[in-house]
Amino acid sequence: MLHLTVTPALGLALWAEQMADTRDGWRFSADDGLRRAVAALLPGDRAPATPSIPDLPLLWPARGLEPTPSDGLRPFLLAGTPVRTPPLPNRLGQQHVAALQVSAGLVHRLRPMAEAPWLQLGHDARFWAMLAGDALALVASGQFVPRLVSVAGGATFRWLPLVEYGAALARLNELAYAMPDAARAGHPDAAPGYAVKEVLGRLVDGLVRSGGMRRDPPVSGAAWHTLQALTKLGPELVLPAAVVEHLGAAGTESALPARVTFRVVPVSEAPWRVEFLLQDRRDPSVLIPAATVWRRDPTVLEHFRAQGYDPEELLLRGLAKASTVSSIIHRALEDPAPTEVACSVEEAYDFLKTQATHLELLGFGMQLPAWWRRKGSRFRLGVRGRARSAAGHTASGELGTGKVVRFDWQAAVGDSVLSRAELERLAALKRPLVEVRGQWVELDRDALDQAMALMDQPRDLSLVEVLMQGSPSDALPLLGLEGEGDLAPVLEHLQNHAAIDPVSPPEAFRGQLRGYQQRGLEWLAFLTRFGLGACLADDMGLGKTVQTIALILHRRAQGRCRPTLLLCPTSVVSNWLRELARFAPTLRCQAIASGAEAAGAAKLAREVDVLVTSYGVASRQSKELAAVDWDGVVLDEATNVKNAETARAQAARKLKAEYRLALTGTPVENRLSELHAILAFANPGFLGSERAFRQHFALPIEKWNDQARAEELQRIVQPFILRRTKRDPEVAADLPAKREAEVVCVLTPEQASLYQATVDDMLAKIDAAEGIERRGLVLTTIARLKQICNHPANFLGDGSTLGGRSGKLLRLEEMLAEVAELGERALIFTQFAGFGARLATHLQETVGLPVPFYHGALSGRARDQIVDTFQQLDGPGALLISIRAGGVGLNLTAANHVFHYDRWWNPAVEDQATDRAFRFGQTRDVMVYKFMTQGTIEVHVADMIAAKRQLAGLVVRAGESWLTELSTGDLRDIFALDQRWAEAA
Amino acid sequence: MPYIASFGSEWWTRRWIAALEALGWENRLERGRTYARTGRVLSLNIEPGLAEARVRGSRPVPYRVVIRLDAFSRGAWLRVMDLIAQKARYAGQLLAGEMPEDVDELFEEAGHSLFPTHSSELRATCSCPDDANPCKHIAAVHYVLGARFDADPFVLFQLRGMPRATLLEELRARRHVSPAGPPAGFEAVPELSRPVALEGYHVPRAELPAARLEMEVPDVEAGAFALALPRALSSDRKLIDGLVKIARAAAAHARELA
Repeated sequence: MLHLTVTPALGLALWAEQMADTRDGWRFSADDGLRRAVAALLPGDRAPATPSIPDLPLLWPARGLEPTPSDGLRPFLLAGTPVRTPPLPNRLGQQHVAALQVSAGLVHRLRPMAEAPWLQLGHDARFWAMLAGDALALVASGQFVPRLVSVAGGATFRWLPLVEYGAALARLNELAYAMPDAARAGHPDAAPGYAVKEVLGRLVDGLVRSGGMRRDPPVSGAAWHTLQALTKLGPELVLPAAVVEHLGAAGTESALPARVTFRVVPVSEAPWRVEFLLQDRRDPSVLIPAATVWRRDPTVLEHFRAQGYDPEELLLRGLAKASTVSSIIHRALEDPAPTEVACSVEEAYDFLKTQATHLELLGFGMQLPAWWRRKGSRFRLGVRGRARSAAGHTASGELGTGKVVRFDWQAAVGDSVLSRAELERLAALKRPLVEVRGQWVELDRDALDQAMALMDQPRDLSLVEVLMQGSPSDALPLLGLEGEGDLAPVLEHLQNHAAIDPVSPPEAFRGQLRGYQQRGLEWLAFLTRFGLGACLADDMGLGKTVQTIALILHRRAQGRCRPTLLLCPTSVVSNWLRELARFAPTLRCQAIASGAEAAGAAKLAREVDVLVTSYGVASRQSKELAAVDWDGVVLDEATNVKNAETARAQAARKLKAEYRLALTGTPVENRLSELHAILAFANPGFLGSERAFRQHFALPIEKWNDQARAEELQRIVQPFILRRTKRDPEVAADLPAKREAEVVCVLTPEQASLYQATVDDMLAKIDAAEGIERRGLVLTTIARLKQICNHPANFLGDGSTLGGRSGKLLRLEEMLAEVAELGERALIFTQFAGFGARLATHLQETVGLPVPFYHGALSGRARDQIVDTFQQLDGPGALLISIRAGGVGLNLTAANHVFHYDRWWNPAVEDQATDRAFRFGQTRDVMVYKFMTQGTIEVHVADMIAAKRQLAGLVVRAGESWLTELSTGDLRDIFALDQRWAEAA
Repeated sequence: MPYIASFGSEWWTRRWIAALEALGWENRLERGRTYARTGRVLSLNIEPGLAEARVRGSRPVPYRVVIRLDAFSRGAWLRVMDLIAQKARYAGQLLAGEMPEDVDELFEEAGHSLFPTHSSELRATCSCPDDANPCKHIAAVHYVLGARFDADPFVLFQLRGMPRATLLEELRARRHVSPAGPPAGFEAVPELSRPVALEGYHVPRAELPAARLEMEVPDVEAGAFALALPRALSSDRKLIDGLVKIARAAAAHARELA
């Protein structure tokens, strides 16, 4: 488990906690785990040979003198020994660990690593990684300035963030409030607020230094020193004393124990107040009102005198400095001992709008009203629309997203609607800040004028327009839409994702819907009732099929008797028919045979309730199918229409239906062009043309990481996409858990020598080859090395005996025996079909269980039979599956142990395979074991993929072809047999 | 002594020089410039009413320079301090290293002038054999004195007989606010300064905020940098433009990482 802690130097240090061996108990290790993690984080870089902090003292929970493990620390399943319950701590004690000082960039990359199976992130590491993300956002937004700060031995310059007000300040306070104690294990005396602020400062500083282009402007003297101090990498540069003296008193500002903070207090019907406070630097939560300072409160005096300062002088000095940029503070200082200043609304507005920014730049603290500068529209003038039922839609169920609706517009603030008279009264005030029903609001003239214009003249909008544009006016945020009759629930849903009517499960449905499936049915029933298309994107195995079947039955029960067309990949046509027969035996269902005549489709449609067909057949018979009036068209594996230009996508769009439903198990939000294609199918015209979508959404979001656009898109599409993952609490409560473990095996001497010989031989050939030939050689090498790791016989293909010659096989035999002892069942996946046959036979003999082999060469009937037998039998057993043949569609919930004997290096493919067992219908926790061989390509590539995933934050390109692009040097690193492990073997 | 990077960058120092020039010291200060710049003024000690310095000349033993300025009477200072205490601005500016811009008026109201107006008020002696007065040693001390004024306006008061500590103490006494009135004290959010605890050591103490900080269009402004930098640098366009370029590159880089 990786941890991050703040250090006494207020940087972040990375250290690793690891359970080395159950015999030794729990042990802190900063060696292997840390090196491995750092290597993964720094692809291409050289991990430092020794941690930069060899002996970091930590305050850590312990039992007696022995440190205790973090909550939830997973042991490595190296030896398969049973895990003893870890000891419970009874005190906090000091431990010393080796740690590594880390930068913001590195911490930021930690964030997605939590998913890597060999690595856990402590809550503390997640916490600091979150802050690193904030540091990155601040730097990306240019929210930082150079500041002179005092450091041990003098002063220097740092790049520090501007976080004194608004959303940033509120967020930092929340973070400080929630900070896990372990996050300051290395510096437990630091107050959380102080630690958060200081660490954020260091992170921002590091980011700017490492990202700033270094081009020296021609400056000299103190400016030159300043520039050096702001661009130097590595240890901070302490400015020469003469330079500090030249820079004057400002240099010592950050050394003062407190700074002045201003609190803006809005007052109704009276002048506003700006209050003065002293804020402790070491503990920013300590705020001392000016009145307390002037009264010489003994506690306050003592607090600052002990540090050699007088609180009154700190306050005076700060106020005088602030008065250089703020007219109202200047005015306050005409009094002998001011505690606050009263100001008009106009002055307060100017203070909030400009002076506060300047004061922050000068290093002052700010406490501004929460509504000020907060993102969002609650504290601005906006509009609400009310749909007129008369102007809009036709009969219910015919709404669709293209229908035009006439809206009446009302000006509003938050939930309060303003009358025309009120607006005019506000306009007459001619004030930048006005109080509307107890809420202060920033009001600009432009917004006011537009609001009045809209109230005078209603505007028609289509639902698509409303959803896309958000508001009829660019100066006014859209605060809400409401409607009458049928429009009411639709508008409500489109905005709030709420108010979905409950429906009872259809009577004809044979089976029991889980809670989240019932909600899915209600959601589908709701949208389709209004002719709106939907995309059901639940995780694989959560039962998209049963929800779809329930929807079809529900609609029939509502009197909609036209047939439903179901398009899916060829491989699952029979699966659909089987599931339909099982859950909805009353429905007449049929598939179009691939060789059937085109004319048959329309005729068939009249005779059945559900017609199932493959995409291929559908595009060949598109004319026929388009001639039928369907109740619904359902696309299973809707990513098949992701390319809008293909014949199948065009054919799908031409189909006429009351509703369209797309099913997909992949998170469409991450692939924007796919999202567009799928939603363009579900709701034609929605999201605009592909080109416009690309310009407005895809480019800004994917290229520039534009958060605002991403949120806008999210808001627009949210009503039409339902996606639940297995981790969602509402789903998880209904599902058993899945636990993954890497099982790292060793090579036998025979394997090691074969491996080494193959690497030597092939690398020489690769080096001499080019182009396609080289790529071919690389892929061949990978395949051979994988085979050797599996078993010498897998590589040699010589039919020799299997026993005792492969570390992996030995491990598998042992683990299968354990599974059998538990009376449970297992799936074993391999990608080598030829070897699979031998493996199945061998396992059957050694473990003494039937181990059938499911592979592509079997007939469809033989395959179905294997699945049925496996699902029906009780007691122990195992099924060996060729991963190419058994990737999708199979339901093998009788097994709750999944072995990946060799690696596919594509998490999606492996997860799909795993999900044969971990899916709807599974009643037990599922254990997933991923086999890999120590010191070989299997471990090297796994590490690389983990690292690449973090770096790009994206799914790695599937398969192995990317390896062929690597240089021979890099390939050598990946192929090379780590000699330590070879010797161990 | 540190090298003198600037001399007369603050208005009160320039007033001081102007006062000297009005007293007929015109152009003679120039002679001391090189001496001051090369660090020949070895020490400068300021006491009420006098500045005493050691200056390395051509002989092995440094020369002793004494500059005397008439100190104000205690009565005069009491009146001045009454006036200063009336407005928090005065003490605040002095503490922030600024001479109040209307300081002259304060002293005038008390019947005095902070800056010398008669040659009899200012007397200088040097132990060197040079007959000229001011000699280059005295001129050099004036340079260093000017730099001291720039850095700390209290020095001028000290020279006029009022040490900084006494001044601040007297002001504090005049500012005294009676302890009556609304209750006051520390305001603190105790949770933010809580000590660590064994219970729940590893886990967040409250729910973490889910959203991350929003990124805005980068907006790196030279004006903001000028305000954030120490005043001595805030008008250095070349430096600020250079820093803005670095900052923009860093923001662009961060966008790529994010």
